Amino acid sequence: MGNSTLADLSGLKRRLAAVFFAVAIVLIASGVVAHRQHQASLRAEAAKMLLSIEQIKLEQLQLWREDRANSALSLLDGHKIAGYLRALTADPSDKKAADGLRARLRTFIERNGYQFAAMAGLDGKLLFSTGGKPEKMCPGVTSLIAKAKASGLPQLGDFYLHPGETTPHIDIVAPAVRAAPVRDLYLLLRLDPANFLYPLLQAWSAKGATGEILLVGRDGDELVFLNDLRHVKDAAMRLRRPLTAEALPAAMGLRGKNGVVEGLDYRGVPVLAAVGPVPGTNWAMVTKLDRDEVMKGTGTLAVLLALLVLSLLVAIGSVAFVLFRGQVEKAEEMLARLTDQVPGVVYQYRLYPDGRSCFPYASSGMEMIYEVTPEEVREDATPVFGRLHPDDLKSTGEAIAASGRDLSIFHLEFRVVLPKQGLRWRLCDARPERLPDGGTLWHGIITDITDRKLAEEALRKSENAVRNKLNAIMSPEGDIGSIPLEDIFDIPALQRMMDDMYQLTRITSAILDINGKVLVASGWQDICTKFHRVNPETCRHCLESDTILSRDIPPGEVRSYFCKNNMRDVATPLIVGGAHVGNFFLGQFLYEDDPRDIEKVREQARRYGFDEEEYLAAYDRIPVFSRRNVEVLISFYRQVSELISTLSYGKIKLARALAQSRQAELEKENLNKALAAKNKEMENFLYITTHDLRSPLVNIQGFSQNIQRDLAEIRAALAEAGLPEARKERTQKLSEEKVPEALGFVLESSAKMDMLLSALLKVSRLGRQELKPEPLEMGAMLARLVDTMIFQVREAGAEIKIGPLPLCRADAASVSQLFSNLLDNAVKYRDPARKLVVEISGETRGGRAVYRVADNGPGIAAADLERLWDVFYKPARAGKKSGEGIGLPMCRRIAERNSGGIRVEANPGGGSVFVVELPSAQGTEGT
Amino acid sequence: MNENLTILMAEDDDGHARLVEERFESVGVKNAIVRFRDGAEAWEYLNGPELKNGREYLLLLDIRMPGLDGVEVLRRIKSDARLKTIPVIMLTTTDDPKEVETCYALGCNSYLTKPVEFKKFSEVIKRLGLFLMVVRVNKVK
Repeated sequence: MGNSTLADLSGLKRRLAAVFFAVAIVLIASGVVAHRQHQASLRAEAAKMLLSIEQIKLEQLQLWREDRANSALSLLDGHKIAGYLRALTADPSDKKAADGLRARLRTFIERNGYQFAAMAGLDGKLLFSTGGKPEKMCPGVTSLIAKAKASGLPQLGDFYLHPGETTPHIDIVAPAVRAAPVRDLYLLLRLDPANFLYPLLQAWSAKGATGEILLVGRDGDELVFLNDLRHVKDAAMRLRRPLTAEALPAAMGLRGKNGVVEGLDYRGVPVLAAVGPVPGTNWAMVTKLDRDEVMKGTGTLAVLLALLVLSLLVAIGSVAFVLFRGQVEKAEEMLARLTDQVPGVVYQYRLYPDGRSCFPYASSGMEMIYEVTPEEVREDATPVFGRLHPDDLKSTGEAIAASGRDLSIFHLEFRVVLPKQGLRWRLCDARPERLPDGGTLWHGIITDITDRKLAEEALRKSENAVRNKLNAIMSPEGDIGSIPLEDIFDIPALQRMMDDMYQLTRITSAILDINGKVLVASGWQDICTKFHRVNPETCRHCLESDTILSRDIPPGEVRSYFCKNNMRDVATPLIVGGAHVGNFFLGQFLYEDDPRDIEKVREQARRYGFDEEEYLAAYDRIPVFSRRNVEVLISFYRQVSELISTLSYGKIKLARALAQSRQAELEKENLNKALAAKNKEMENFLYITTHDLRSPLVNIQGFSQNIQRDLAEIRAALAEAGLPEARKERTQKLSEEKVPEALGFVLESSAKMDMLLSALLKVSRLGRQELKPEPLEMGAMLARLVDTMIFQVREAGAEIKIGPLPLCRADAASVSQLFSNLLDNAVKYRDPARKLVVEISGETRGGRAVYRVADNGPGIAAADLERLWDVFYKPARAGKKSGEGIGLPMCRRIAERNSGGIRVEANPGGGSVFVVELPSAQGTEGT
Repeated sequence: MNENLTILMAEDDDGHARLVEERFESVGVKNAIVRFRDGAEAWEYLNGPELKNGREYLLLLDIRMPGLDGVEVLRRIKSDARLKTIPVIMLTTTDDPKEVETCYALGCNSYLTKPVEFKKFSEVIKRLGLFLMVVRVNKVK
């Protein structure tokens, strides 16, 4: 069987049904045909029989008629009769002849069973008669005589009933030609058909109890039955029917029909009849059998046939059903196998319009999901609703109603409380479908999402904890009491410790926060986990016991009490940072001297619907300890708890302190970054500005020089020109004094400005220069510097002493520039009154290389100390010797850019000391 | 005097342009000077029909100009197969070593600080060997 079984099932059902109906139709048709054929064959057989009987009867009738005629002729042919007739013809009074004739006729009548014999003339007048009373001949006798005369042969008359008689009779006329050739004499004979003909007709030699042979004749518009009938008394010549009677076989025969017909006979009973005319007469013969007899047995056969068909149908139907059922079972088995693989239950849930509901189908997972069997909820879903968590019952009902109303997908997460598994989470997804009865049918799946939910919960808790911890750390002013205990404690570590202790002591221990939430617990007793914490009411007792009963215990004290579920609890508070944040518990035990009221326990079990025996067993398993042991243990635990509390509190305080320090560091970093950015911006501005300012200066300087150059030419021209003396003097003064003087000022000022701009450019360029920090041999560097300045130094008569200097880590070019500026200044601004001595010393202090450049110059006025580092600032004392005004600002910039600093101090022996700090080459950063 | 030489000058400041012309004149350079007011104008000329094959050119480029600046024009010239043989002298307002470095890196032949003093200019010209390179000088002052 492949995977397509489920899909094939309805197709199979259709195919099986089609085959079944086809077979049924064929079977029924065959039955009907067989039945018909059987009937037809019976009918044909009967018809054949009827025709042969008719044939025989017709022959017999013919023979009888011939026999009658011949017997009359034989009588007349007799010598004696002929003699008598001749004698009587000759002498009608010949008594002897008359007697002889009479005797002969009488013998004849008696021997042949005639009623009456007579001799008559052509006119029909009786000349002589014998037997019976002399009765009138039938009315047709004269025509019979005429026929006999014409044919010379005996004639049989028709049936004839005299008025007042009950039985008809038939007359026979024979011409006595040979006996009385002289005169026309005719022998008249009357016979009673009841004696002669009827027995012949009534004799039924073949099978058939209802067989009957009729002779019928025509009388005007009517049909008259000629012989006696089986079922009607004295019918001969009396019973009549209209010739036009449609269904009457006798009438059909008279109307010329020759063959086998079906119709209703004189009684109105269905018959099968052979009809046909009787040759030589006006009669018709009907040979009939009741149809019922002909078809006798076909009814039973039909019933048997029907039974056969029916049983065949039942058999085939059963086979089809078994076949289908087999497939269905296979399909169900496969469905079960498939649904067993589904993590959860696959189900159909049906909601009736009256509010009842059930699970028409549920896979085996039902037992895991709800702890009920699919059979238990097949008719009624109530057990399932009993499993729903009370808080989720309402929302679940509403969700079902909404889904049923809108035919929207049912998607719900909800909780169940199960006898074995306890509280679990379920996820249900189902698609509803409206049923013809107005109800709703859902097809869906319910899965166990407890693990996921727990994971989510754990994640959420851990997120909360992390967030709370962060909050606690980030808000140093926050109240420690507002931090949940679980955020203070190292829960897993405590749990491990308490688990180990439980192994030793067997006393249940727990730490609960101030709201009764269990944070750490070890060695729980069955009576709590399986009973008290499961039932909502007893669970509330637990919570109340853990909070209300344990409230307001003074720090360091231990309280012992019965919990609301009648067990011993011992509690001691946990104090962190002076705040009561939770409690330490020993519990779920009894003291040796505690009363044990079994009846009360039983009552408790009954009240909350616990299994009494299991509950009692759990109660018996509650451990029993001595007061002394418990007191020792709780004392130990209290000390451990206090230790943990203190450590935790200390940890938080430390974390806060660290956080604050880190915060300060971050702020400092940010400030430094902002400062650096500002500096850079400033330097860029400076660079562009000075550059742009220099552009117009080029014109001022350039064209001033043009004028200066051209002035010489003008002067020469003026000297040659013959100007009036006064005018000449004036122009000479202009060209030789005034204009050169003005030009001198312009050029001098612009030169000064050019210098300022160059200085500014240098400063700004410094900021843009890329620094390459490397270990610097400062002693060697300064020695080289002094070498380059040797001319100036000698000229000034100065002395420069270089002590042992530590290495630093900085950019060589810029640091060289820094010290060059400092030495330059020292030489430039020395005290002329004494020999300049510059001492350069250095040391490593706190990871920094500190260099001191001390001179014995005039020193720096207190007023200048602050502004000394400003660009273009010139101390009054500098006087004419003032330079660009950027030397010290550049020194400071260089020091800062090399992560160092510079400051100036007064030299106690007169003069100044410039202190330069740079990162030490050995020291790592930040130490 | 090399009369086949045309001096091209891109300089946005009229005064500067005049000063440069005069300083050249004062050292005896009489060649025609074609002046452009900015980099774009210069670049257009260099790519236009007026630039004749077979003639010799010297280009003076001011570094700082509005729009297309001298550095960019220099970069374009040096990456153009036809123009890259033209000698280029950058005109600087300052002797800022960083700018000078940039120009040398782009392939300029020399640089000239904007002329101020006649004496200084001629010294500079001499020092650069400019006269020997491009013109025959009658007289050195």
